[in-house]
Parts: sequence; structure tokens; C-alpha cells
Amino acid sequence: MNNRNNRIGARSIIALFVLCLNTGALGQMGTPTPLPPAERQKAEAESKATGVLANYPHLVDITASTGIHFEHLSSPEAKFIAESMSGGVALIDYDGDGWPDIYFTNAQSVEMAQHGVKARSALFHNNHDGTFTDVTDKAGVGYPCWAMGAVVGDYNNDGRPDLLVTCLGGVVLYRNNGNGTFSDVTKASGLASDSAWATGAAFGDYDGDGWSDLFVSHYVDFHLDDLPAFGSGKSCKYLGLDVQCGPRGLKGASDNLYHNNGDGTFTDVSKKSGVDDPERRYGLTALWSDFDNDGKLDLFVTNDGQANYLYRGDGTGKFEDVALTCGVAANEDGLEQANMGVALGDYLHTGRMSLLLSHFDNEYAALYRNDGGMNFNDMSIVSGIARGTQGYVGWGDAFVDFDNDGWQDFFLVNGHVYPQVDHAPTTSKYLEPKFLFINQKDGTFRNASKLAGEAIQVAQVSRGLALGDLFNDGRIEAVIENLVGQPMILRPEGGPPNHWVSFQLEGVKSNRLALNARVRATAGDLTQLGEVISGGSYLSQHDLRLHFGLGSHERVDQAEVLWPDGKKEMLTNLAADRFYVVREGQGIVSSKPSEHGVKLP
Amino acid sequence: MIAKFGIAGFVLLLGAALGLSQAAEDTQVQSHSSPGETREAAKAAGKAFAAHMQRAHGYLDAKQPALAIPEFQAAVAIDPENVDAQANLGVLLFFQGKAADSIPHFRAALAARKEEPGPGLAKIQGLLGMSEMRTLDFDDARKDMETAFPAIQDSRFQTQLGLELVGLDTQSGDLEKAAEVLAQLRKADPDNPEVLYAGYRTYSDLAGESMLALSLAEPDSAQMHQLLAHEDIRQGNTIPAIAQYRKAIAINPHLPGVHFELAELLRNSTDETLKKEAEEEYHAALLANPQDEKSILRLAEIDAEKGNIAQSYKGYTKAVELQPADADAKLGLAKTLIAMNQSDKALALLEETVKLEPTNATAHYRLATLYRKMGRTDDAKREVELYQKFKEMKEKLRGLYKELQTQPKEIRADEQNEQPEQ
Repeated sequence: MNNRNNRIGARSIIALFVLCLNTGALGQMGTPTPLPPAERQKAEAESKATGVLANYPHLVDITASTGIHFEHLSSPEAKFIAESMSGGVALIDYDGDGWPDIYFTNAQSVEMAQHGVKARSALFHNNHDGTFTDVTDKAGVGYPCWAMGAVVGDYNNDGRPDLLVTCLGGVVLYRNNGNGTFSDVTKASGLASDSAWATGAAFGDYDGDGWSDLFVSHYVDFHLDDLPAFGSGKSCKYLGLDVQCGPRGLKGASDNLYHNNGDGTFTDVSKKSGVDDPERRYGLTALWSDFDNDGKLDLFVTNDGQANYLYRGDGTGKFEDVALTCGVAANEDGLEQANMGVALGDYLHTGRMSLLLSHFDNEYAALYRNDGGMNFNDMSIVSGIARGTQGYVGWGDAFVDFDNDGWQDFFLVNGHVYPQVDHAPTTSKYLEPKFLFINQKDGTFRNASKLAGEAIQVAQVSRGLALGDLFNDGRIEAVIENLVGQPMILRPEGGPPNHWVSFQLEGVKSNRLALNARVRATAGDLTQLGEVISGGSYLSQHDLRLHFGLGSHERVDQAEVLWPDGKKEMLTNLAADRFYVVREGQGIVSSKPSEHGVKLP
Repeated sequence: MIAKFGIAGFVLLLGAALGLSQAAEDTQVQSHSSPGETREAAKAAGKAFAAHMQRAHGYLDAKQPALAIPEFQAAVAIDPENVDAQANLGVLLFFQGKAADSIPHFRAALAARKEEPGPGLAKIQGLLGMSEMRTLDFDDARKDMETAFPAIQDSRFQTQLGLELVGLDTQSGDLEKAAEVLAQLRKADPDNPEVLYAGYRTYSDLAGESMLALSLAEPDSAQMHQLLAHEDIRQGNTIPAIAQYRKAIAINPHLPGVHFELAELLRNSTDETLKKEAEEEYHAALLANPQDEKSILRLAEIDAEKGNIAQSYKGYTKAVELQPADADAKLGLAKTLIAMNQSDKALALLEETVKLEPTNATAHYRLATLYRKMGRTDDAKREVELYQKFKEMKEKLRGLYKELQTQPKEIRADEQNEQPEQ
């Protein structure tokens, strides 16, 4: 008995100190999440699968032919966390020509900053012929700040999309002047008070007054004149190696909500609205949506290594964090993960918006299925997403229908945080490939990352991801911003000749960009839900137009538009393969066919 | 330490506990005079005694103990057998730091007490022991404190006396006795930091003593290497600890617990090769003891991680059979059942898990999820609240462990970093 007791005591001691050891040895963010039942074997099989995916387009790297020359600055050693988090990318049709343009954010290293070197962000104009032209200087958006990400909104309801850049030290709001130029109105709009490390941002009219309000999440309390020393302290180690410090061990920064006053200015209502993040969690990506379909906007914010926020809105400007009780704060074991990017979509055609979050390498991407009534369930493992994503550091992610079959697949870009990982005793590498998961239409996904062409297998240090039909031909391109080096633009080529439809919504009583307006499109047996979203992915902005793949259906039987002010508009019997512009209360105001004639270089 | 009680409070407390209300008239005065003279003298002495006692208590009430001392001294000069006066005088002197002076008064009080020893008397004896300890009369001190300790009902005083007794036992090298006293203190005052720290110190000393004894008795034994492995683990030296376990196994492969302990260490290693070796060690532990529930449980966990769902289900089931009170085994089985879409069975197991281990945050979270799926919103909410509570507790502990492992300079740096802005 004594012997047994002694042994149990010894076990306890071991367990206790092993816990200690692990706290130092684990990654810097999130909680390790071992893959349970059957998933590892499947993952291994999938990782070995090669060949070609039948009836699915190849994702081809067309970056070189676009004429885009942009290089995100980087530090080879990434000694500071601020050097690892930038790279959001935004699609913005800034000149209103109906063709998405691209804005890449840029950030210097600490050393560069200390020597007065600035990083040049860049705006590329879509030439309608498959190429882009750098119009940064003319537009005046080259040097907003140490830029993290960018989102689009029309803060002054003039019908022209404005650009908000999040920075290491606040935000910069660029007003679109409508003549190819932008003006920095940060100070005039009252946003200059935002001075912390801003990461995610999202425009959304939470109180239904027709003016887009602005939420800004903040990450770490980081100052260039008080730098956490590389490799110092417990939170600056990774698998025994010295790495950048943080976010653990560093102070977080609280979030802000700015109410649009309707006169070109904003008022900080963070505290009274209940979204001020008094715990100072490490906020990253944010987006607005109506998760419980009650007609009132809710707000979702990912927090790195901490519980996410899901703020349920009451429509009047009061919010309550219900993430924990809804099941989206942590994984199925209640472990808080390194939540970074957010994909939002109705991948199951249930009429509800689910969430898919990207995570750190000792975790996996987490799929939270929206089961209605603010009830989410962690489907990461059963959906097959977990097994394909564990071991990688995920960032920008999105539901996307590359093959236009009417079912949203999942696309994720990766890249480690620490360059030092290449020398660590782990299989993880600094440069990582991208992932594509095909929707099996039954709640599961098939990992097709090695079956959709060589391009997505190219290892990079990716961060931002923005999706949009760059060439107006009915196919969705992926614009990926990399932390190190040039971006990558992927175009789906080949695959089935499925049909599609695209809607550009214009609010009248609602906010002009119709942010958070929804379209429920039905074509035969397909009923899909789309929502106009500001922000999301990882500090990025997708094309605001809603794109639906229609499979073999040549017409849309009906498209119900749910405007942010609650009004519904029904459009019926729409021809497929066209771009529709729908104005609130006026129905379709214009439509045009796809630009099949565009010859890509 | 004893000064925490406050002198006046202690004296009054002592008086009440002793029932020290002897009438002054009862005072006996020795005399060789005639009976009449004697009666008169006794009456006068009794009056004088009563006056001194009244004044003394008045001073105590007025929180002027220094002025009470000469009054009690005058009183005991008249009646040396008065327990109230002797005891109070002893207490006052003790609190004035005059331990040596207090001793004869405590002894006189104890000697004069006519009734059976009670809690009040035990206090006097406890204080006597403490005074004797301060005058380096350790034998008498231990005797008096050991006698007094179990009879004291005032938990605060018992804790203080017990801690002094532990100190005395430790000082004299009698760690077993110190451990006995600590066991009683832990039972009576389980959350007292002084008691907990004294426990930590005593058990550490006992461990050190055992290590020394083992190293002298059998320095090359398997047990010695097993012990050294523990020491390495304590210091965070994983690789040397693994080496020590391997040496122990080389000497005696049947050493109880050694394979499991090594396996635990290997499994938590960041080195993939070492991790793989853990499984072999769990199997070796099972060869030595086929009913080793913990090893069965760990192998079930490894099977679950590998995706061997049938095997993991079998292992968890066996572990639960062998040890129905193992919350980890029940939680593991519940998680496997959830993965097998058998949520109803999992629910019952999770409910049992939180009964067995109410602080298991994961089990509460899993329960909340199942309740939510079943539409039992209130139950889900309650479980979420419990999850939060115990998660925070765990995080607090994790912080403590982190601090234990961190060098002082780093602790200060981390504290600076982690403190929220004021």
C-alpha cells in the first residue's frame, strides 16, 4: 500500500512538473490540441495523395502576368512580434469602374523604423486586361503608417468606397475623392485618438441609422521605444529556441467601436456599447454579421491565444459577449486557441453563417457550425478540416466557390511566425503551403491541397487573403499577400463550365455599400446565402460583390435581398453568368454579362 | 507569532476559558496568629487581594497591561495559589518578552489548579511550553507543548502552538514527529499558508533525509537513480532525468513504477523520437503490472491520438473498469463516445467525471456543449460558469508554476510585462 501510494505521489509530482515544463516548451500562442480519432491516419493518406482533382479548376499563379510588382518588407529574423503580423490585402473598386483594384499593406522592420525607413503600401489599378498598374503615388495611399491590414467602407455615404488602414499605432482613414485620389481624413473624422496597435477593423451599421460605424480591434501594447528583448523571458522561447516575445507575456490592448455621426466624424462608444475589451485580449480580425438572424448586427472578433468575442447586438448599440455560451470562444475542450483569421459563410446551405478560424501550428483550423439560436458546434474534426490543417500556422482564410458548383469550399493561407522554426526540432517550417478543402456537401471537406495545381503547394510566409472576380469573367481569384517577398495571385483555370451570378448591392436608406445586406439566391436545388462583409479573412477585404456559383443552373429562380434596414426585395428569374447591380428599393438597375473577351496575358 | 492574538484579548480570553473568577474572599492567607487575629488578617488580606485583582483587571480593560503587572504581582504575593492571578501574570510577562519570568507563574497556576485539566489549562501549559522553548529548556518545552497541543480548542492558538512544536521537532531532527503534528494541523487548518509552508518544508526535509540515507545505504541502487530522476525533474532537467530512469531500469527492470514514470516524461518531451519511446515504456509498465490502470489509460490516449478509435475505446473502457474513480479515464471514454456519435452515453460519463473531479474545466465545457445540443440551456450555462471558474483557477496555478521555474530577474521582468496598466 505504501509502495503504491509512493508511486502515485511520484506520478503526481511528475505530472505537476511536466505541466511546468510544457508551459515553457509550447508555442507562443494558443493551446496544443492533439488530433483525436481516426484523423491522423486520414491526414497521412491525404498528405500523400497526388494527382489531379477531376472537375475542379487548377489554381494557377498568374502574379507575373498581372504586372504587379510589390514586395512586403521583412526582417530575416523577425525579432519583434510587430514584424510578423502585417500583410493584410484589400480589394477595392476605388474608381467605380466595376473592376476590383488591389491595395497591399506594407510594414517595415523595427531596425528600418529606427533608421527612418518607411514601408510603401501600394494600390494597383485593374486595367481590365489582366494587368494592373501601380497608382499608389497618384492615389496618395503609399505611406499611411506601419500598416497591418485594410478594410473598405463608405463612411460618408457618397457612394465611393473609402479605405481604412490599421497600423502599429492607430488607424488611417482615406476618403475616396472620386477622382483617383484619396485624402487622409483620420484627424478630421475623429479617428486620430486611436493610437494602439490596430489590427482588424470592420465597418458595419450596428444601429441601423444608415451610416457605417467602425470597429477596430487592437493587439499588443507595443512601443518601439520599449522593445521586448528577443529571446528574453519565458514567453520569448519556442521549442527551446530564442524567438520574438509575445503575444503572451506582453500586455494586450483594448478594442474600440466608433459610431458614425453622419457628418464625416466618429464618436468613440466602446465602453457604453460593451465592446471595449477591458481584459485587453490580443485582438486580431473582426467582422460584423447577423449570426442569429434576428435582424440585428452582431460582431465577431478573434483573439490570439485567448477566448474570441461574439458580441450579440440588440440593434440599439448595446452588445453582450456571448461567445462562451454560444460555443465559439474556445475549442471543443474549452481550450482557447491562437485565433487569427476568420472565414464566414453558409457552407451547408442552412441559411446561417458559420465561422472557420485559422490557428497556430500546435492546433488546427476550427470550424464552428452555426446551428441557429446563437448555438455553434465545433465541427473541426468531423468535417475533416482539423486533420489537414494541424501543424501549420494559418492566417487569411475564406469560404470560396472556385469551381462555381454552388457549394463553398475552404481556402487557407499559411506561414509560420518564427523564422527560427527552421532550426527547431519540429516538422514545421517558416515557409508553408496553402490549403484547399473541397466541400463534400454533407458537412465534411476533402483536403485537395495537392490536387489543385502546383501553385498552392509553393511554400511562402503568407498572411492576407482577399477573394474577388478580378477579371469579371465569373471566376474568383485569390489575392495572397505574403509577409516575405511578393504576393501571389491565383486564378482558377479549367474545371467544369458551371454557371454563376454576381450581385453588387447599393444601399439607399441603408448604408451605401450595403454592408451586411444579404442575398439568398435559389437556383434549382441550390439555395445559397451571401452577405456583404467589411473585413474578415486576416486583416483583409474581399470584393464586396456577392458571387454565387450555380452549377449547371442557367437561371437564378429567385434572389431575395435582405437590406440592412430589414426590408426585403425579391428578384426573380435572373439569367446566369451576369453581373447585376441592385439598388435598394429599385431592384436591378443594371446588368452586364461576363467579360469572357478579356485575354489574359 | 503568538503576538498576533493581542495581549489583552488573550488575557481576557484566558480568564474566561479558565473560569477564573475565584472570589477574593476564598483567598487563603498563611498565619501564625491567634484565630481571631488570623480571621481579621485574612479578611484584610482578602480585601487587599481583591483590590489588587480589581485594579489589575481594570487596567486590562483599559488596555494598560504594563500597569496590571504590579497589581497581579501584589496579588500573587498575597495568594500564591490563585490560578487567575498567576496565569494572568504569566501571560502578561510572556507578552512582554519576559519568558523566563513567566515560567514560575505558569507553573504555579498549573500546580494550583484543582480541577481536571481542561482547554483553559491546556492554553497555560501551551504558553509554558513556548516560554520554556524561549529559555532553551527544550525538553520541558516539548513535553508541555505536546501535552497541551491536542487539548487546545482555540484553533488559532492551536495552530500557533503546533507550528512552534513543528519548529522544535524539526530543530531536534525529529521530522517524523513534526510530520505527525503537521498532519493534525492540516486537518484543523487546511488553508493556512503558514501550515502549508511548514508542511512543504518538513516534507522536503524528510525527502532530503531519505535521499541522504539512501545515498549512504545503497548509492548504486535502482532506487537511488529513480530518486535522482525525480530531483532532475524537479529542476526541469528532462534529459538527465530520462538518463537516470534508464540507469534505474538497467539495474532493476522490475522496479515498481519506473517504466510508467519514464513513459510520462518521454510522452511530454518535445522530441518526437522520445515521444515514440513513451509507448514502449507504458507497455513495459503493463508487463510488470497488467492491471496498471494509469498505463492503460495513457495507451488509450495515444491510440485516440493515432486515430485507433476502437483500441482507444477498449483501453478507456478497461481503465474505467479498473479504476471507476479515475476522472481522466471517464473523460477520455466520454470524448471517444462523442467521437463515436454516442453522446447519450458520453453525457452520463461526463456527469460522473465532474462529480469525481469537480475542478475539471474540460469536463464542464464538454458537458456544457452536450447540454446546449440537447436544448438544456440552463444546465449548459451553469456548466460554462463552472468551466470558467476552474479554468481561471488552473491558469493561476500555471502562472505559479511558471514563476517557480523562472529566475528572479525574469520573474520581475514578466511581472512588469504582465501587469495591466493602471
